[in-house]
Amino acid sequence: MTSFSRLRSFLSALFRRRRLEADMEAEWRAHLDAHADALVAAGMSPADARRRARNDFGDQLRWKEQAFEARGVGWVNGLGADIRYGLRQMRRTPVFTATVLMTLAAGIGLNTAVFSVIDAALVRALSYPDPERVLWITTVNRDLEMVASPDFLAWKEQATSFDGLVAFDFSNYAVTTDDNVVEARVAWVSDDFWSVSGARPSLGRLPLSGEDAVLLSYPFFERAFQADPKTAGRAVTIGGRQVTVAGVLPPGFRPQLTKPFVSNGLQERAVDAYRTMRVTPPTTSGGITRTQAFSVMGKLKAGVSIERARAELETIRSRMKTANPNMPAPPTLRVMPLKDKIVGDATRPLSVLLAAASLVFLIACANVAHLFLARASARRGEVAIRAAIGAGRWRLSRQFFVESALIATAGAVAGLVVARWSLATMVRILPNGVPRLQETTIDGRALALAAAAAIVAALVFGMVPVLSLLKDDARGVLKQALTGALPFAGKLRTKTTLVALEFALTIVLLIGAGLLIKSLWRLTALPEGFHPDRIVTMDVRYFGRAYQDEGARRAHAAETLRRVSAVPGVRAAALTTNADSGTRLIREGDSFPPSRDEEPAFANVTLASVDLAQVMGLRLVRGRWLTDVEPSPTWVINETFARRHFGDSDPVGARFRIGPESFATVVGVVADRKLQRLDAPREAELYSDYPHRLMFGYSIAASVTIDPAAAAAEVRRAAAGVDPAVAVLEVRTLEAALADSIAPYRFNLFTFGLFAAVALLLASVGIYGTLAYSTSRRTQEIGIRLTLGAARGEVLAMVIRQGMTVAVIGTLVGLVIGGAVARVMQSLLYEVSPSDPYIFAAAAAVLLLAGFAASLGPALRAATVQPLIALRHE
Amino acid sequence: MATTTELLQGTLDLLILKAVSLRPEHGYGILLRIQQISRDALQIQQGSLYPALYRLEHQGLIESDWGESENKRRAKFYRLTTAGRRRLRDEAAYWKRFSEAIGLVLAAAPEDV
Repeated sequence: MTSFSRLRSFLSALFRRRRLEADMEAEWRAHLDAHADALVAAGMSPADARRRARNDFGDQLRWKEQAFEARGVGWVNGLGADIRYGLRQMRRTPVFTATVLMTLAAGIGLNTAVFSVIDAALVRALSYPDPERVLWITTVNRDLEMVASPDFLAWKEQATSFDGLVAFDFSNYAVTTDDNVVEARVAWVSDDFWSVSGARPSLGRLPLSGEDAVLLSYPFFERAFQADPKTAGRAVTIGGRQVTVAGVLPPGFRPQLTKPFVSNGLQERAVDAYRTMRVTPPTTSGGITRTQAFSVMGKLKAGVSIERARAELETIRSRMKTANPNMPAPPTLRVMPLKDKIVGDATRPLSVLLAAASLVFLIACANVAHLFLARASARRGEVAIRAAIGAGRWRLSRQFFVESALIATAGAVAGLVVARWSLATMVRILPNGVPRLQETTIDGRALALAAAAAIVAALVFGMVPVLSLLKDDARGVLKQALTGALPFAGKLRTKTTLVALEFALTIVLLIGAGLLIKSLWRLTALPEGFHPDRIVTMDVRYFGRAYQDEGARRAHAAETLRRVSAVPGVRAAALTTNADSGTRLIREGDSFPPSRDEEPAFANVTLASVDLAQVMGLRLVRGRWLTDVEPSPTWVINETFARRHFGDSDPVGARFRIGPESFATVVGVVADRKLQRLDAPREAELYSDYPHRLMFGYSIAASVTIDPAAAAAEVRRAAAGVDPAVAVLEVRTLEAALADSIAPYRFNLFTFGLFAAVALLLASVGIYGTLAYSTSRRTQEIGIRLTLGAARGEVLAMVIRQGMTVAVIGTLVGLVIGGAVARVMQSLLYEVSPSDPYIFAAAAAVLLLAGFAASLGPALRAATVQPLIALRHE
Repeated sequence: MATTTELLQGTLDLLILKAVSLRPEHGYGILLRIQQISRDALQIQQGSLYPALYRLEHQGLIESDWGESENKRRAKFYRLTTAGRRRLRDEAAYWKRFSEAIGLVLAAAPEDV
């Protein structure tokens, strides 16, 4: 007897079951015929003979089952029956099935979604060739992370550690196609970008060195050029200049770049076109030196360590410093893998997110476990009867195994639907909430995770009650089952423990969500007189030769302000450069009081027009606001600036300057305000009258009295009408602009809020289920109590007390855990203490209220028991 | 059926092997053969023969082919394989020893002890 023949027999049984069955039936028919023939030959009538033959043969179904068993495939046959039985069970108990399914779907779905987000953000490699060799390189001056062109040029010329060094930066441009003008995000990239990113155009070619050319991203090629293949090679107007479209990049080309500088005022978004950038040494004209500054990435030569590369770059820097002692050199050089930079600060929030998702999963498991326990108790009778009529332990276990596997599979499938939905929702409402969110998909690994989670969840928790049931004394249970006196299975302690655990875990999530809500509330708390939803903002960029003249730029700005102010529905329009580049400058010059805290003087500089204070609701503290017709340059400073540099003395009248520009006099002080980013710390701010300053672009902020969307269109038309060659970009309400700046907070809150809500629901279902079950088991006892004179109110209180005891214990335990866990969240919070007592109290109140509400249903049912019916119940 | 002996567990396999060792047989024929050689002392439900047959076939002790029976019906004939022949020999020897031992025990008279 070989194992091969055994296997062949098994396989033939497995795959050719139908044929085998037909074969078997033919064989048995022949047998019956032969037997009948013999009986007829012995003198029996043919009809009697047939009946007798069948009778002698016995139960064909039974033999068939045994026959399959004999071929080693009995379980295949039995499995089908088990699945059919399992499905019938699921249909018979729709509430149970639906509850378990939803619980599993929530637990598995949220985990899968979070896993996918984390996988995309933290785990998956960047889409560069040899991604681990791609570094981010920057010099750092305070919190300014950018590289100036002299450093870059020196590195490029002298460094030997790199296969390529890329300078890059971002701009928004108006791109003129044949029939319209579209706004595009352009990434400026220096020559080495093409080799470092591994770009291979799907159409056209790569640009030549020194050529002014663009390559289009595929989505932009489709959107703006209708995927017309003739686009490659033609010229388009970008920001007023004719540029050759060298080619189109393939659809999947999306190399990860660092975010635009905050000072650029650009939000992170998909790059539409890559334009060649020439890195040049600083130029000086009219006493002003202009230096290119940008981000840098480099590709290490194979086998070279980051440390060696850093040391080499540092050496080159110090050589430069020795050679040009007058050139400003940022104090710090920072070199790290590009991935670390991009992932950056997201690691912490994502870890917290994963922990939160795991909590939801644990709660879901606890819920499923006690649902299964409850059902197992209810099915003790059935199990005992089946055991009594000869079902073996293995057979019974298999039955339960199949049932839980069915539910687990269905739960995992539903979970994937939930995962897809929650991912799509996250991407839709908060595309920039975490790095690479838009690249996130549910892939094979996520599917595997969902499958694993499903198996762990349902099989473990489906089997646990079965194991305890199989230990039952079948005879005793059977007797009780038949007389209807089956007592509670003694699993109440297990179940209440599980429910208490759910409550403990839920409150942890509630506290987390509460802290985040309060952070967001703090972030979005707006000062009086500031209505960002009623302010339309847009960016204006000059292009072309005509605007190389300062006067032309100022005239354009003044005309734009005049026209926008005249649009019906616009109350006031103001100029600001808050979103312009280069607004943060280092103080130079004299007659400036020393800083109180010995810090170098840094300030955000905003050029402003006369109406800015009114539009933005800036509150004047001292002196006056500036006008558009100041006889000499003026400053308005904010309170932080005043406190930092003037202390208690009056700053009005003080004179100082920034950079090489002329001195200006302080005319007023305004209250601190966050205008650009809601999560920005308080910073020193300087406002200056725009006619006295150099300006390369500006933003318009217009407060409107009509619907902002309608006003935005009119405002854009008015602004664009001044000179069609000037780009008017990013027209939107200030509220939208501000909301983008706190996208990560909103992402955290959205996910945490969702998790907490799901957890709350699950915990409520848990306590409801347990109470409903235990009161239904105690119907008789309650009937007796009522008969003996217990008031219905007492019964009500008894059941609620039972539920609330569990809830309170769980909550107390959870508060302790939450206190420890919340500290981990510190970095995700904004001006909220992780041990904020109000949040803890509120979380506990919400949870206990939910527990109370869930207890009320079963309690009311118990209190309305009819004593006589209850007593007859058994 | 007072004279019917309850079929001992595992005995049926031995009987089948013995029956098909004489010549290839179909299921009904094996049944008749068993009744014949046991002189009707062993009664089995006819259908229960088949799971046993399939088990033996699955174990590689017998093999089967469709053929034609003596009264011109299609029937499946079973015959012993080499492994089956070895098994039959071993089992038969074991049963012989076993029944001799039982016989000795039962035949023991008080004076033998």
